[in-house]
Amino acid sequence: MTAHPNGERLLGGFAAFAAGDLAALEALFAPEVEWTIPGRNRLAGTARGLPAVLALVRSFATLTDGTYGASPRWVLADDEHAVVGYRATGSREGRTIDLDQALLCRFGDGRVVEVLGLPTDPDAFDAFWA
Amino acid sequence: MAEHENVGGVRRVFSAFGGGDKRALYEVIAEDAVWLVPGTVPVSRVYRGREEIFGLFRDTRRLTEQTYRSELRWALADDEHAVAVYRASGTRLGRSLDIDQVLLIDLADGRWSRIVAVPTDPLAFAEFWA
Repeated sequence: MTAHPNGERLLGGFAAFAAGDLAALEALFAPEVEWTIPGRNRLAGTARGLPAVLALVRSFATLTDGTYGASPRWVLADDEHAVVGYRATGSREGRTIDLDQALLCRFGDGRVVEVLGLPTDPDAFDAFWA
Repeated sequence: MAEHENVGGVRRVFSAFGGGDKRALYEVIAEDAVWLVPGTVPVSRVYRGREEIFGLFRDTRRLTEQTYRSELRWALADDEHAVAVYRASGTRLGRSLDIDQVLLIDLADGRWSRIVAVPTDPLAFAEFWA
C-alpha cells in the first residue's frame, strides 16, 4: 500500500532528525505546533510553538550526547493523523533506553500541529529521562 | 479514500465494548493474541490468549462497578498495524478517570495478534487503577 502523504512527511521528519537537518524538520511543523510528552521526567509537559518544539527535539540529542536514535518501524496515516511506531535507543548518564515508542501526530494544511510522544513502557521512559 | 477493513475491525471492537455485537471480539482478536498493559498497577501484566484478555475486559468493568467506558476517537490501520485512540472514563473508589488511551495493534492474518494499551497520561492512569 502506498503510504499517505502525511505518513511520508512524518518519515521525512525522522530522516531529517537522524541527519541533524533542523531546517528540514522546521518545515514539517506549523508555527503553532504543540508537542506533549507524558509522565514524570525532565521532558514531560507540552512544548508550545515552533521554537519550543525545535528546542525539545534538539534536547533529545544534547541530553544523550548525540546517542539518541529513533528508527521507524511502521507508519499509518490519513488526511488528519499520522502515527509512527519506532524504536528509541540511546544512552544518558550511564543509563540506556531501547524501547518501542509511538509518535501520534495531527496535521493541519499539510503540517504537523500536534504531537504526542507515547512510550510503550512509561516507567522505563521516566527512568531514562529522569 | 476508502477506509481500510482493519479500521472497520477497530470500530467493531469498540462497538462491542459499548454493548454492541460481542461476536466482533472473537472475529477480530486472535485466539492466541497477547495484550500488554504496561506499568505497575494491579491490571498491569501480559494477558496471553483471548480468555485472559476477556478476563481483563471483565475486570475493568468489575473494578469500576460497571462505569468503565471506552469511546473510540480515531483509528488508523493497514494490513499489519492499527492504532486506536479512545477516551477511557469511569469511576472507582471515589476516583475518576477521563483520559485518552491508545491501542498499538499488530495484526496477523487480519486479526489482532499483539496489543499494547498505553495511557497518554500514565500518572492519572496509575492513580486511578492503584
